[in-house]
Formats: sequence, C-alpha cells, structure tokens
Amino acid sequence: MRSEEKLGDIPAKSGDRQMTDKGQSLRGLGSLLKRRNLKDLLAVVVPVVIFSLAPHFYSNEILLISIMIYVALAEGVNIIYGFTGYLPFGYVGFYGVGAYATSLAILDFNLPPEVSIIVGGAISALVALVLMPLLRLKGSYFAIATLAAAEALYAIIGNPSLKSITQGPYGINIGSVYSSGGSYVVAVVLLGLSILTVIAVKRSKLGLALRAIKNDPVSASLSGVNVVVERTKAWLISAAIAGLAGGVFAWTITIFYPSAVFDISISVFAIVFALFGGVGTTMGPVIGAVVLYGLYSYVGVTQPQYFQLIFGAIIVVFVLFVPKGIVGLLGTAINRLGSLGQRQRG
Amino acid sequence: MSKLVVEELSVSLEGKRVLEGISFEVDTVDIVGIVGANGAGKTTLLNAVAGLIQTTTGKISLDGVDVSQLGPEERIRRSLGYVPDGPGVFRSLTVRENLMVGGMVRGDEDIEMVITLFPDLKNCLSMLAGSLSAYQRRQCAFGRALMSRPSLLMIDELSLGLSPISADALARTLPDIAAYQVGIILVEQDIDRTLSLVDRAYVIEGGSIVVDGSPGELLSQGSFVEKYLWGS
Repeated sequence: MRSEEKLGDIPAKSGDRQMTDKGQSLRGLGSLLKRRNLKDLLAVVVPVVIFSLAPHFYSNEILLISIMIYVALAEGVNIIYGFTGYLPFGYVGFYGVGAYATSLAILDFNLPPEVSIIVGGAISALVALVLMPLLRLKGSYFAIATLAAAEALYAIIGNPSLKSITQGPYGINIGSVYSSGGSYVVAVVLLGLSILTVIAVKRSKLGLALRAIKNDPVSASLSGVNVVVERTKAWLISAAIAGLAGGVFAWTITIFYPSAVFDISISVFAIVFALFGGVGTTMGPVIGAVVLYGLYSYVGVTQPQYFQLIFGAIIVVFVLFVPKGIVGLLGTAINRLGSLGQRQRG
Repeated sequence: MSKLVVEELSVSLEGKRVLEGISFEVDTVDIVGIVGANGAGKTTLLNAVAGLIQTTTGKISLDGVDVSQLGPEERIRRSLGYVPDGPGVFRSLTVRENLMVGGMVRGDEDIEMVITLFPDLKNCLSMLAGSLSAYQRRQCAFGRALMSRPSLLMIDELSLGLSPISADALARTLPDIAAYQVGIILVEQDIDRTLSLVDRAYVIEGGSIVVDGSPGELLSQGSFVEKYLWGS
C-alpha cells in the first residue's frame, strides 16, 4: 500500500525539492521564531531611532515629519491593499477627516493636541464604518467609489454653508497650540505605531484570515472565515491610521485649507510608496516612502510634472509586474543567491 | 434526528431551473454518494447546501436548525465541512497556514488528526500549497476542511485531476475519516468507485433525484446498470 501511495505522490515541479531542502535547513522552529522576532523588532526600532536622531543632523523638520506621515499612510494602504487587495484611491478622505476632527477637537473642546489626534483617528474609523458598504464593490469599482467618497467628504467639509462648524473653504487655524517639538514627537510615535500595527496584523489571526481571503474568498468562507467582518477590520484599522496621520499633519502645519488635506495626490503618493516598497511586507512602505518622497522633495518640487509621470508609471508597472515591490524583489534575489550557494556547497 | 435534512430544494441559476424538488437526509454515520451525469446538478446541490448559492425554494437543516438563510461561514460553524472541486487550498499560504485557517472556526491549531489521516502532509507543512502536487494539494484541501472538526463532510469530485492510484489512495481514507464520527457526502464522476465506498447513493438526473438506495439495490436495477455502468 505504501509504495502505491508514494507512486501517486508525484512532485509538481522540480522546484519542490529545493523548497523541502530549505524547510529542513530551517527545521529548528525556535531559531526561526527568534529570527522573526528580531527582524520585526528591527523593523520598528531602526526607523524610530533614525527619525528620532535625524533633527540633530538635518534641520528641515517639516520634511522629516512629512516623510513620517507618508510612511504611516503607506503602511495604512498596506493594511487595506496589501492584505485584502482593495486599492483605496480615496484614502486621503480619512486623512482629511482626521486633520479636521483633530483641529475641531482642539478648537471646540480645548482638548490637548495629543488627545485630539487620537480623536481624529477614531472619527476617521467611524467614517470608514459608515463607508463600509463600499467593500461590497470589487477592483477598480472600489477604487473609484472610494475616490468619490473622498471628494464627497471634501465637498461637505469645505462647504461655505458649514462655515460655523468647519470654517468651510476658509481653512483651519490652530496656531495657538503650535509646538514644533511636540508635533515631531507624535510624528515619531505615529511612525512606530504604523509599523507596529502592520507587524501585529501580520502575526495575528486577522492577518492569516485576510491573506486567505485575498488568496481565495470562496475557500475562506468555506473555512468559516467571515469575509465581510475580517475585511471591515482591516478597513477600519487602515482608516484610523490615516486619521492619526491627518491629525499629526494638522498639529504640524496648524494653518491649512481643506484643499491641502483632501488633495488626491496624497492618496496617490501613499499608494505609490506602498507599491514601490512592497505591499504585504513590513518594511516595503517605509523604504518606498523614504526613498521616493526623499527623491521627490529633492528634485520633484521644481519639476513636479516628471514625477506625476514617474509615479503613474510606477503604479502600472508594479501592480502588473512587481506585486511584491522592491522588498519582494530583494527577498527573491537573496533566496536565489542562498540556494545557489547551497547547491555549490552541496 | 439526522445531521442534514434537505427538503424539497429547488435552485434556479440565471433563470434556469437547475435543481427541482430535492429531498434527502444524511446522518453522521453515513457515507452517502450522489451520482449522475455531467451537468445533472451534483455540484450545484453541494454549493446550495454549503450556502454558496441561493436556493429558490426548500429548506436545509443542520442538527434540526434551519440554515437556509445563513451564509456559508455560519454553516461551517455549525459543523459542516466542504471540499470543493478544484484545488480548494490557499495557494500562497503554506500547508500549515492552510490548516490553521481551517481551524480558525474552533480557535484550535491542533493538526494531529489531519496528520494522522494524511501522513504525507507532515513533510510539507512549511511548503506553499501552490507548490504541491495535485494529490498533496487535495490532501491539504481535505485537511483544511477537517480542521474545523465537521460532523458532516461534503466532497466534490474526489478523483478530479488525480491519477487512478492517487484517487484510490485518497478514497481509502474515507472510512478512516468516517471513523471520527464524520458523515460524508461524496459527489463523484466515477460511479464504480462511488458505489464501492458508500452506504447509500442518490442518482440525480436533470436536477432531480430519480432513484436512491444501497449500492446492492442500485446494481440490481437493470435500468441503472444500463445507463451508468454499461461499458465501464
């Protein structure tokens, strides 16, 4: 009987043997876990330490905060797109809502800015809950619908008839609570928190369920996974991060118009950074935001038209051909080199 | 009380009646076969019981509770298991992760039962399900479905895409699965194989059950043998 079963057990590809070899070399599960813990620890600590020390070497704090905000936004996109495959082109809506909710909490309720930013995150999650029906849409329909939702939020908040509540198109001024040191600290906290959130999602049952859903939603529901509930969790977490990021922006800039926080290019940037670095990975969005936003600030501000072209091309090329981004490419290259080395040794 | 009771089930897909007045019962000690030609409605029936497609009329009860209006994940929670045709695995997840997703319903990651039933899986737990052979992938799909500890397992096309040797090997695990107090509904093209495995079989023709009985009873009917086994 055994030999018969073995006969039926034909390996699908020649690559199978390599994979088994690798599995055996990593057999010590303990060392594997430790390695993963260390990797995750470094993924949080390294960026946080670098950005904590950066002001000592580089004086443009606004740029540093902007990069941190974009890291957070890219990680937020990572959670919804990387784990569910839903591309949120209207992601900026949550950012704008967060910026406004934070500012209004400061202006109307005299809450301290740090608390107000948390309120901003919560309100954004609440708006995401209201927009939950959008998750029924798929692919580009979802992308377009979120874009429309973001525009609707902009139209409501920036509406002159709401001047008494939101100041309408005349913008927000929270200059009275301005604190460059304070906003820098919360930006570093936001940076660390966003990376930590991705790690937590990745390691949790939610992360596993989301990967299963992205892989095959029908089989996931046939495994008892509630597809709608799990997707909604990712959607709310993602929106909350954008809300917090908007709050940090508001406290940093203190005077802004609705057009500044509902600018669709903020969505595009966050998506491009996440895609470029690698969605579904922890470090991808960090690398994407630092490299591309750094580059953009260096040369792009004088010639933005080229960057629109380049960013557009990045979206197309990475979605189609490099779904795992730069980090995924590097990982594949390292694996190839590793197995090459193993073969030479063997 | 039977585990699964299906009463007068009808299903229409795109305005066309695919199933009509289907009634049957399965208990947790049964291995029941559903046989019929291509397009007779076998897979549709399983999909309807699993909640993947809407039924037009009729009632589906699990443990005496009407689940007709519940979604598939709710029915899985009520200890229904389903191995659909096709791969039925998460290709970009490892075998271990596949099993863990299957066990999420119960919050249990104990893979002992699955490894006992499918020892081959033990050596490929950290491999991606997409890189497995068709046979291993099918075992992984069985394992995933069994992780939720169903008391009723529906299997669509046991032998699809497998070599006869692999299909036989997989078929031999069915009694072992049933020994865990799991009732089995088997849908299968290969009628010879089905009849050798099941206690009772329902024959579907044009969306309705035309005849049912034990393998012995079916084989004693000339019309059944003529239609489904002649020449095979």
